[in-house]
Amino acid sequence: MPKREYARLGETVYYDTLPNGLRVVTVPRAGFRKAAAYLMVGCGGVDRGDAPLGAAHFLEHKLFEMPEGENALTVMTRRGANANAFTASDVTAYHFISTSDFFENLETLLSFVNTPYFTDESVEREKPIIAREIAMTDDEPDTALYYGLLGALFKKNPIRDPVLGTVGTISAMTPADLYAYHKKFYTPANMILTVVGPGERDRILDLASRHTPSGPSLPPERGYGEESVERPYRKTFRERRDISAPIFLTGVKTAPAVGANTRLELVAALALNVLMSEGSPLWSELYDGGLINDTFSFDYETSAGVSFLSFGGETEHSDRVVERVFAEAQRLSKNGIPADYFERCRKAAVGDELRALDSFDNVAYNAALSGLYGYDYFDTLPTLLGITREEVMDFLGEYMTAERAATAKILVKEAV
Amino acid sequence: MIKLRPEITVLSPGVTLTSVRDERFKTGCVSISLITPLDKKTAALNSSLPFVLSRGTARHPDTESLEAALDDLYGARIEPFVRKRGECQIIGFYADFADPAFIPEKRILEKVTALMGELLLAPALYSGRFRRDFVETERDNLVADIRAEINDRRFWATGRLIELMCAGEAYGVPRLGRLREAEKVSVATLTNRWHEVLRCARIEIFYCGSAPVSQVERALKAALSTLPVSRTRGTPMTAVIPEPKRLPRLFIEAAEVHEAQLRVGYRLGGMEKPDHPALLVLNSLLGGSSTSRLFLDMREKRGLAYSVSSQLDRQKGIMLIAAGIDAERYPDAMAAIDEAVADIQGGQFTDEELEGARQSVAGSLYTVADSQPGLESFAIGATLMGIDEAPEELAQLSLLVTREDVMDAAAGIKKDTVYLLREEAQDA
Repeated sequence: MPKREYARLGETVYYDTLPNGLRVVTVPRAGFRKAAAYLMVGCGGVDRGDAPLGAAHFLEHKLFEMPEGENALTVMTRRGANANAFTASDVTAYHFISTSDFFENLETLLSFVNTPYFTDESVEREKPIIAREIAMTDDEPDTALYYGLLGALFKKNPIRDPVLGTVGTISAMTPADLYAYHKKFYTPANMILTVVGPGERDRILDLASRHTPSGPSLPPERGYGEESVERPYRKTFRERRDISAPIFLTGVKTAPAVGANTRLELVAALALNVLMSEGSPLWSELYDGGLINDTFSFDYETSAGVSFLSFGGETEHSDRVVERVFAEAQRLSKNGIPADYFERCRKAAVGDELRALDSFDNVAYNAALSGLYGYDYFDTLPTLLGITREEVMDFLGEYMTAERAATAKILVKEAV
Repeated sequence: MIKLRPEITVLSPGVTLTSVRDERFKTGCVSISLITPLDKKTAALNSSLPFVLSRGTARHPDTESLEAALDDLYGARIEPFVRKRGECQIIGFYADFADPAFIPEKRILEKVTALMGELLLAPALYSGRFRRDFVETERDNLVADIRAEINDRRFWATGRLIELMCAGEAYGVPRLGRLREAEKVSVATLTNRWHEVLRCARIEIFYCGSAPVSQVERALKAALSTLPVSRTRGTPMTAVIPEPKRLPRLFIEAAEVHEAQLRVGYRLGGMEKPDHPALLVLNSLLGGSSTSRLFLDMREKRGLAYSVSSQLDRQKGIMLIAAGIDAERYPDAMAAIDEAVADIQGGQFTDEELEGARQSVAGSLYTVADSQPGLESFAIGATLMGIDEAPEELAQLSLLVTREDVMDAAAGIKKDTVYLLREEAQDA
């Protein structure tokens, strides 16, 4: 259905698919000078093609360079737009926010993403820059912790490998690798364009069809092998670094929240909030007992056909925290979640969704991601309101056990 | 195009409310800022205060109870904050909440502001003082936070530069205060500080949302009815040092890093009548965007850095250039930075670069006008720097900045201090 009205949210959203397969979502918002656009491609760090590790990210860097010698980022920034791109494990996104010249910027965005242009010189020039970026992330303890956990949870899924690649793998990158990668993954059927702010849908669709390849296209095959959900590949990851206090991150795989199962993502988020958000009895027990501090957080992630929850933070007592988290989850699952507490948690989730809808960047990003994954971002609120206490209790009972968990820790390196 | 004119009301001497009525958002926000002089003797106490106050009120004596009240208001959030702007330390609370148009709760503004008032004025006390367990936990958290700053090498390097460059100036005091004072925060000293701050701090309140000013005023007056009326709420000043007091010094420190962090601090000259649009454009031109001179030269052309940027503190009259580099290439990096600064001062930049900087600054300011947190942050800065223009007006002025304006603004730039954080040198 091309037009959907979400009366409760005061939003109207237009969904179109061009003959070449490109999906376009338009979210008009009157009264704002600013506008946001995302062009998201269904490929990321986990998608190798035949290129060395780090190709998706390397390509993202180089795509801004145009054949006539211009750099699309420079062109858009000179118009006052705030333009950027990122490569995640399973998607790559090129996006901007602007307060003027929206259609000129949109045209530039569509052109440069669909115009691969790489030379030996420009590829060589990028290698030290990305090497610097790798060094910068190597200095981030949280990044090391995160990849440490992924390596423990997953045996084979490429989500465990760094999106940036390594200095060794990127040094082998050639223009031919990048052209082949672009050809395989950057097909219109594997992309989605989302626009938040401007309502001139016809003009948006016209620009999109003029600046993307014509002719029907197919999305590429993407598969990452089977991965056991019940057990982590390894139970632990350990490293020592020169940091001020030890940090930990514990993770559990769940059934993948994809396809018909995207509701699981909302159930998981609500379950984790019920269990350990700041308003939970568990949080107060751990915080008051000095076992956690304000760095404690939790998350649920879906990517490359797998899903997992994680929680952690800075503490000297991670084993005790993990023990208490699983014990409390099982207790809630067996004894029940108090009904009024559950309703309050749900109300808070509703407020969070409304807050998120005010951010143009967030809406454009989520409309794109949900479009690629095949669910409706704007249905989040009604879905939230339909989740039952029993579903959340079942989730906690099924997944929150020590047997399913892996824990990554970075300990303090003692001064020599 | 909506022309948003903030309405400014004085609730009592030194307590001002800025309201922006705006019906475009699905949320509303209120912030209460207590503006105090940045001083090493009080900085750690001030930075503990909002966190201890957040632990509980007389009516909601613990986190569970407080969070339950907030969750009941559709996940309204009231977050404590500690900010440093020039030589002011600003502590307080920032609240955001769903707009009544989207939820069954129609009195959400009144309920959230009432809670904010309670956090500030009616915290959970024991024998008239803060609870020992609250103070000790938050003191320990503050100490951990200060110790943790070294974990983010990029952030740490910037902090070290400021401490070294501005040693002996109030600006040299870190945002959270120093470790030695943080370790000594106690029930008695913190309770006293709370009383002092309530009496003496300049208070700025900001609202943005769909409610009319009259409703906002009523809600805040009710929420802050027990705030002492005081005639001594002055706005703290920031001392500008127009020139370095000596030749530039280089400090090198060692840490486990894969990427060396270079920081260069500059004084901007006298700031009696700062040309804010020209300063913003100057910064954008030099290192404020991906089309800036530093970015295009040091990163794209010479591969000397992945991350390089410049930033200004227009209250304090200083500029900072930051770059992540390979330590062996420090001389090349320093030379490239010197060249970039000299070029801007000498007018050696193209019309295209200038236009790009103007558009970039205007774009940022127009974006501020479209975001509640943006408007809130802008309002505080405007009060402290005596800026009367709204963000859109500053944006329009930025589009008119000339080459000469930029050169005039850059004329006073003088290098003061250089800092390099690197791996222990192998031949040390």
